[in-house]
Amino acid sequence: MGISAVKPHLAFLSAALAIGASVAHAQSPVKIGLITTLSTAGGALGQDMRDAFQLAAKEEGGKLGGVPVDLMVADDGLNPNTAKDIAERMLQHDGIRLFTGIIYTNVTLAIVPDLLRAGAVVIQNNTGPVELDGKNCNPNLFGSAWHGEAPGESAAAAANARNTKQLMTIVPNYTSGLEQRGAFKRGFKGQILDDILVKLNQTDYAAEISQIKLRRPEGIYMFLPGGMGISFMRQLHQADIGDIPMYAATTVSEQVTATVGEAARNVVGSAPWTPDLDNPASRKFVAEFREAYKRTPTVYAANGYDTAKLIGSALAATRGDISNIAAVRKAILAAKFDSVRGKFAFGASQYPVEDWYMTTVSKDASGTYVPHNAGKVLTAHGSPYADQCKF
Amino acid sequence: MAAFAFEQSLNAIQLGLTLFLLTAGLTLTFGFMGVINLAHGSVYMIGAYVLAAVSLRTGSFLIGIAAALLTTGIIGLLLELSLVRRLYRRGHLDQVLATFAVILIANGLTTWLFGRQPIQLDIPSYLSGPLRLTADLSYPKYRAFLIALGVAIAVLLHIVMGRTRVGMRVRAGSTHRELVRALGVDVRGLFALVFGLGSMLAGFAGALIAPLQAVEAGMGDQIVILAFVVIVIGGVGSVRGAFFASLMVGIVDTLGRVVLPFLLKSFTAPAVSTALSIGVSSTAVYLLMAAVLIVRPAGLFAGRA
Repeated sequence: MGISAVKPHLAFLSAALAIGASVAHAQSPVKIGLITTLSTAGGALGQDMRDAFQLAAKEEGGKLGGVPVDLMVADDGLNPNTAKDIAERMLQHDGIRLFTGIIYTNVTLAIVPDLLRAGAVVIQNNTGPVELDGKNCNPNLFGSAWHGEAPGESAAAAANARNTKQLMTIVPNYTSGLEQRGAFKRGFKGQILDDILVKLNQTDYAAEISQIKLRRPEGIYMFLPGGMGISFMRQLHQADIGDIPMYAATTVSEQVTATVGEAARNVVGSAPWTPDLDNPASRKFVAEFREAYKRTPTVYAANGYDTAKLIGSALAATRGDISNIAAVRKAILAAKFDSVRGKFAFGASQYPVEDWYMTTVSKDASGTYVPHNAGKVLTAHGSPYADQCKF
Repeated sequence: MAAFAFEQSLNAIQLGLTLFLLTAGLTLTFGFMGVINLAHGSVYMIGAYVLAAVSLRTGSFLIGIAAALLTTGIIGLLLELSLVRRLYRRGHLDQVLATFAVILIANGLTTWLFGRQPIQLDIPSYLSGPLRLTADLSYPKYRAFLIALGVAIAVLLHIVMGRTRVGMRVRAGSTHRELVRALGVDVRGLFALVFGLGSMLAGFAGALIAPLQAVEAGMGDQIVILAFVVIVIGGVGSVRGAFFASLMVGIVDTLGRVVLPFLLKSFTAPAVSTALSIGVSSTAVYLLMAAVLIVRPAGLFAGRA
């Protein structure tokens, strides 16, 4: 499992070391701990994030914000215990005080409190868990992607924008699924016909699809990440059910729509960034990412790239001296970088306040199904718990 | 509502028959050779990948199926000759460890060859879309196709096991192994044959289910557990047992997902019913297994072991 994950990691490390060595006389590089998920079925997100982060460092020849960086990438295997061991090693042995990369909430909750207690700065570059927001916010914890409930809220905004009167929800029976569904139901203005709960990693949805067929909803809110969503879309497509929009927030990426093809044509996604977002930073990022990796970046890649640029802006402001945490915090909060989202600002609990767009899927010139930006559904949207945060 | 009930019945039967394809081979290797083969799920995954890769390149679903059957049959034979053969005389723990290693290797190689993203696969156009039965009754063509194939394979296995010499030897071998050996039957060759055919059936199941699911590394790891539940319910080594137990599991699982939430909603508060129904429906199959084992500790159709 780790074979393909380790190879680019080593290759990059040696490249980073080589670059680091040539400038070592000027300044010793700032170490950044990138703890992320590269293996298992959930590894695609971490891979995208890491690739984009490395792209940002490569643009500057191994530097971020003009300061040489030593990027230490480690795969947590989606296992909180592995992540704990890595975090311990990076803190104690490598003396790292700047961390990012974590993808999954169970890993975040297992290691971020320890990292913060050790005085490190953590930038959460995927969904920031509700558990570390509001009353439990921390001055050294920043979210560069979105706050915990934003995906569900943005899916509700998309369904509202399309005047959906009634729909059904389908989520797996686990914490994130229930949390996102809760956020969706709070934001959705129409009626919920029925809620379907499925087993985590369920592969057959025949019984659920027959229920959907019976109730004839105008739409479906689905939070079925990874393979679950692919199986569900393929099977729904075979049913005699017509075109039902599937509000999927950030769970259906460019890769998934390309894989699933026509069965993904009714997906309505939502994200704070889409590859066709028209601003100079985004255009440059998409072109460079495609050039380097021969694929279109996902929103997870965009988050990784923005996180690297955010760190770069803080390193530039502090001239690479991260021993003064107060100065580092101030520089991060200022967020002086060209975000691929067009603009970037933090709210009171240090999660982004940002616009969300709806995406719809259609065929491009080469016959591939691709999500397209279909307009803004939320403006300057931040965490609903921000005002409970007091430092 | 009648259409809904009919459709759910078909769903239950289809789930059961697809499960049967996977368990028929497993129950033979488990009953006949006494080997716990966790790698059966990996062969299922390989069947799915071969179908996806070959049908994408050739554009033909049928060539894909043929390639999946051939590949998984050969892999089964190689697995028996190189590894499983050494496990017959060892304990179940050794068998579990060795075949679990095969799972890890297969998943690693799959990720290395095909990447971590699920791969692309479409249902052939002639099997895609709904099959309209009456004005308000329709069923996905592909699922109807799976039902037809499941029945055909069940009949074929019934004939092979009941009416042919090979079938007779396999049945005799699963209950009276030493006697069969004493009669001069080449048990080694028979083992390899059964293992190869069992793997081919698993590959067939994987290939058939592939167009409806995410084809990704590790896709067989979960379902192999359900396959063992089916085998225990049906009685280890019995193909007939595997058939009826698969259907029972298909029905119980579908009922648990559809009827139970509906019933509980009408009798209890929403919060209670949700928690209760997800709890019961995800364990329904295991409750069935426990109930069967209380009444018949060796399974429904157990031979004399």
